[in-house]
Amino acid sequence: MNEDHENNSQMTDLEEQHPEERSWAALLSKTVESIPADDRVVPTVLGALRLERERVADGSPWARYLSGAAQLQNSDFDAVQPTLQALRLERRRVRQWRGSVTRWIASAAAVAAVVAAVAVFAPSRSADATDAYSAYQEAAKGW
Amino acid sequence: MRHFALLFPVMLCCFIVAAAQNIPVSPANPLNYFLKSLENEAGLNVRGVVTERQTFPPRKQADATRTDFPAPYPLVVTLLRQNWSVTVSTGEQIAGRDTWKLELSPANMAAPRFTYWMDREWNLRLAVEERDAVGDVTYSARYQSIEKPTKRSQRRSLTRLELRPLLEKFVRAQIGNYYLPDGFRLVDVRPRTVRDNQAALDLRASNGLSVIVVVFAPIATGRNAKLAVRDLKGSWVWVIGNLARSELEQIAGSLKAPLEMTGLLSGFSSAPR
Repeated sequence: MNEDHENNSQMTDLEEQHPEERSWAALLSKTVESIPADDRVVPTVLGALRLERERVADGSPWARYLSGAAQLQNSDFDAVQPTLQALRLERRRVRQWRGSVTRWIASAAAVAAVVAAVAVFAPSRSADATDAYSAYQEAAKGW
Repeated sequence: MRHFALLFPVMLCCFIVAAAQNIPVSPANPLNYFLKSLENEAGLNVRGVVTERQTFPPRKQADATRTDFPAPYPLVVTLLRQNWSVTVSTGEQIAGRDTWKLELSPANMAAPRFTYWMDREWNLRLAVEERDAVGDVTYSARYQSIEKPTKRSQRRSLTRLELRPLLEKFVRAQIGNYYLPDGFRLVDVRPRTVRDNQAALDLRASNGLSVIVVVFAPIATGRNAKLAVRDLKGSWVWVIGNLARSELEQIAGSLKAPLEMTGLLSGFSSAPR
């Protein structure tokens, strides 16, 4: 719970730090999808920071979002950390989303399986009693 | 002794007077009269308009109209004599015909009872009412109009079943002891097919007039009124009869998982008469 609270407050901080939060979130999501490991993200972020510090406009979307960090944080580590944190939060959100989708699909599959089972077994388990009453009618016929 | 000697001429006089005045004399033995009438009816073509209402076994349309009277139940005369009392009285006119009203009551009040209205002249059934233990009419049929009967070219065979102690013993050896309500005895065993042509087995019990059917089947059937269904783990048993559900469930509960179905069937195909 505490961790959630902490993560949420960090996310809020990040959102406050980056006014264009939607674009930032979209970028993070895209990164999470395309670069799943942090250690592979770090060089990208560092590269963007370096280019930003050197005022090289490489057209990288990172540069746009990291320029503030590059200005404020002289240390690469301090500049990269918020980005990594944001990525982790994003990954967690994606995981949760995937988890809930998976759960939903699993539930739907389970319901479908139950429905299918009922459809398959219903005729033999809970059909009308025609068979039984036919047996009675035959037995009750005296000529 | 002298009293008996006087009784006979007095009765004879009464009979002669009654015959002379055309006063109907009710059958002396109502059960024999009932049996003879059914035999008589088996040899006749009887046509008319019969209205029918059936709530057990349930069917799509409870009410129906037909041109002939439905077949009677198979009879087990020995049990009929043991388990039933029959009274006779003057019945109302049915389809313009004079009737005797026969009331057949089983000794075991859990079983259904019957009322028949018999044509006095033609000696055949004009109406019937079957009531279950709580008094609800579960089946009724009645001629609204009737034509004069003609003789059938080929008489129908009235089903008269006999008690089969050897068969009962054989069945008990196959499936163990079982419960049947007082007055009912196992009278027949037959193979049958149920849904999807699956082999099953009928055990039929009778108290002389009404029947209980036990079906051993590889599948269940719908749960419904006057029908008990029990899972025997590997096969199912259905018990059907015009009795209280509790009685049917008691029967079903007493039946143990039978032998493997095919073994049971081959066993019964050579079952002793």
